[in-house]
Amino acid sequence: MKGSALPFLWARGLVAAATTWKALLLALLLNASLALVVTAPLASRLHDLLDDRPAAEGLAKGWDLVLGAHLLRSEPGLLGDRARLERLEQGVLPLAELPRLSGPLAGLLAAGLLHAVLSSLLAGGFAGRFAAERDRGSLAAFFTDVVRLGLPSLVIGVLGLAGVLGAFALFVELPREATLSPDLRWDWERTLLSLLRLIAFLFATSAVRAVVAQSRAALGLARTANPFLALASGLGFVLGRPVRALLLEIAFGFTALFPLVLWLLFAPSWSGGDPRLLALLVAGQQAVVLFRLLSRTAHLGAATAWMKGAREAGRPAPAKIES
Amino acid sequence: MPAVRRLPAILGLSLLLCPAPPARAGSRVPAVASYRIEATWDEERKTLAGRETVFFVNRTAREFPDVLLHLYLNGFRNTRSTLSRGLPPPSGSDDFGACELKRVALHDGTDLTRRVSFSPPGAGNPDDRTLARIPLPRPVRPGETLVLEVDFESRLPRGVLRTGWKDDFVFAGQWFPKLAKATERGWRGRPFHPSTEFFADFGDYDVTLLLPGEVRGKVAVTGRVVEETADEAGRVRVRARAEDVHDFAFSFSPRFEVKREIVAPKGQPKVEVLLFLQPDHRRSRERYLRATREGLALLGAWLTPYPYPVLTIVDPPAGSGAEAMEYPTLFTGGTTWLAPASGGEPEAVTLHELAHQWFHGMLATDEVSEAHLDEGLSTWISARAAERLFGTPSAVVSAFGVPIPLGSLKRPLPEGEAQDALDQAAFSRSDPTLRETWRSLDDAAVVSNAYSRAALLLESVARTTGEQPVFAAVREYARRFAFGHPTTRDFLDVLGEVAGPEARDLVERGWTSAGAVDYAVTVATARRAEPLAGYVGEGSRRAWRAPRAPGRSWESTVVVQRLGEVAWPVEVEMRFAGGKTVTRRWDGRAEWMRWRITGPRLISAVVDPRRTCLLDVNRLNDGLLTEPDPTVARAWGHRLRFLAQNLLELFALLAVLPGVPL
Repeated sequence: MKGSALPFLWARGLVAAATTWKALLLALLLNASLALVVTAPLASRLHDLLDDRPAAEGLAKGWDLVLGAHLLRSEPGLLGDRARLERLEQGVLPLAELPRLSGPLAGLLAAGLLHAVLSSLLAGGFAGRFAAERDRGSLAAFFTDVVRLGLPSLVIGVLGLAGVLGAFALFVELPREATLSPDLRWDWERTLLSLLRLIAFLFATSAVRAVVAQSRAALGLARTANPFLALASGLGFVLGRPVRALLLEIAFGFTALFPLVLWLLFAPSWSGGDPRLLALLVAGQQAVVLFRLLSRTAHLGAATAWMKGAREAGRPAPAKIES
Repeated sequence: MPAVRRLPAILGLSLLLCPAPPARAGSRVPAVASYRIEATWDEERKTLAGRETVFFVNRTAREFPDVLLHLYLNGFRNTRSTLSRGLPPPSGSDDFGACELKRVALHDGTDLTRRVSFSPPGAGNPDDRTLARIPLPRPVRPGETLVLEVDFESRLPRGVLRTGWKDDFVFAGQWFPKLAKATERGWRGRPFHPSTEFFADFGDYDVTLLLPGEVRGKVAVTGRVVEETADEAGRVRVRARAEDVHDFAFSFSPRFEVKREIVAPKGQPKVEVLLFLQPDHRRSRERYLRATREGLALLGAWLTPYPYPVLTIVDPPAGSGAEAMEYPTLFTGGTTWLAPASGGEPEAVTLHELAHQWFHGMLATDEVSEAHLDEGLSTWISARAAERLFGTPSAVVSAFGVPIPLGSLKRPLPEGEAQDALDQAAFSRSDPTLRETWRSLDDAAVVSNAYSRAALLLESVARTTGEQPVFAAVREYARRFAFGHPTTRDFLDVLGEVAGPEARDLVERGWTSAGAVDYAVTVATARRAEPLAGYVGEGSRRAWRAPRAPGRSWESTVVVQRLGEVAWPVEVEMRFAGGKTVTRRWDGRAEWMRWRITGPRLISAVVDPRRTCLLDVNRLNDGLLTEPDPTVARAWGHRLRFLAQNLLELFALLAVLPGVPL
């Protein structure tokens, strides 16, 4: 199998990511801490609302539509502005209104942005480690790389975010009215056009993410920490191999989602009682999130290996020295 | 008035009286308003040019000095109509419709066209043209028949509010000049209002339509098509007849797929069911038919057998605005290309519109003022039928046009559909149900009161006072007033007579208040019972008992408060340590009720533990534990954290919030 073959890159990325397990655990800690902080007010409010109410029993196993409606009626601001929440549920809340969300959703949005920023900084560390020949698992070396490449990685991440938001506005928001128009004759036209919007958005997002991954890889491999040079290098690399770059992105996307889907389908639900089951479930959940982090990081590992391989292959062979 | 001047009037009057309308077979109700209509469809202009002969038999005890005609399509005439206040802003000329009276004359030729005036006094909007008043040369006396010849042109708007067209699909509802309802107090007619429907007298219809030839065999009508012939221009002439109905609608499309089935519910008359289906809704064909077949049998058994020999279902294309509307012997459904089986649609909408064949088709109540009588009863009984026939549907979410059923998330009927109505009762409280529907604050108030809240009320009454008596009362109401025009008073009288005064009282309470039902357990405490201490006894027997440590028994206190305006009889269940349960009944009328019970320690108190009153707007406060139990909130905290972890990871992955507008 060639060094740039997709399965090879995929496996190499996962192995490379696994060697940075200490940094991955750090990322998991960061993720779990932020999740804990962002959900704490809501969890606390739920205790206030449910702890002394026998009717809460109906929510023990899972969500109940009727009881949930009663809960939100008795506490209209529980999840934030109800009108905006309803529009969000119906899929008609424009992107521009997101900053005006309130309550837990606003907290989640803020925490999400913070998480994205921190992840971008950490991605600089991962890029540095994957480009290095030695000390891949060293946390000290990882932090040195974070300091050196974190900001350029963040710049690339912000540009990537702009790209994804642009794709969202272009492919999801702008044509929404047209694809849901009552003027369309058949139901399937509406469905297929809507799916087309989704596919276009995912395609564009995948392209942006592929460029971001290759740019970060270029950042790690370069001697200077110029994000724009890295971006140009990443863009050029992806444009030279667009299909494979997209397939690599898709492969890691599925890898990341697979354990989550399995978990959602098969994991038991904890109803608040048995602490041993809770411990087991928390461990399982953290394993799922860790695997998602690993997959995201592995994409960068694969991108670095691919780019490094391509550069080595493109370098002229040393002249044969004849004695 | 001098005799000479009275002459034309006298001549006119002599010709006013006419033979009765065309002979009718199998009449179930004496005709009051019958029509013979001929109309030609102009595909380009989206118009129906027609001539109608209106037969009005005055079966009241009063004279009618004029005629009041509804011209419903004038609701779409311009942006000043009463109806336009509830319509989306027009995007082009296709959004406008009209009904123009070209000529109005008596049967003898006396022209009344110049007498036509619009917006009668009290209609509230001088710019509205949905009601036309035509003074007559002399009044129509009791027992007399007025025959009116009307030439008209109706232009259908692009599909909206259940009438109009979309591409080659046409649904013509309220398309012809139609008499207002004749009552003992004169004509009853209101301008076409965005939140209300219709009210009319029973009669017979003989309608001939000239339509494009390509729709031959694909015309759905009220009643049945009795003749279809091609004319020399390649068009098709469709003649339809309907007896004992109070409206006439039709629909056609060259793309309809027509399915015919004879349904013979056990012990009930046979019914020919015609389904006019969109080709992209083929997957829903059997679901429509099964809901209709089994619905006819069930509603026929619960109420009275469906009396007409034919029933037509029109499946409109999405975006046609024609979904979910009832007409006598014809109704429209509503489904989607990928409608999931567990979502309960189109079954629920089919059963709801089918129920309207009784509650409005046969029991022709005033939908303009008392919409709860047809919508409320239909919503309640169709929810019962849907649960019985198809089970509890699942919630369905839609992402990028693809409906995704959430299997385990159930949407029980009628509760699952009624939460907006409870929001209305809890937060807005704008209108009691018995306020005339068209006077309600807004559409949300109408929808809440007429549909869901009325259905929840009936279900709650059935659960509180007994299912069988309430069903028996509704059956008797349907039997007694079939082919009549019952009012709220009639319904309440039958309910009181058959189901008892409590059932009647509860419905009346629910309909006369804009407020909510809300009972809350506000105190549930248990403390060690204090032994008797202090001065005990009288006179020389008075003794001092020193305070001692509390004994083994507990004194439990429970307070239930009525927080809503509407009182409802409730049970309060108190659970004690050791498994003992005490249940107390309370008529719910006072502001609060307190119980003090000595014995084992109180664990919990719950008001309405059997969920008899579905109108209670806050189930969370229906009970209280004496000791907090954090397990449920803890479980949700755990779920929320995992959800947040994954959403945060998605942020890092896509750097956008997932779930935003799809």
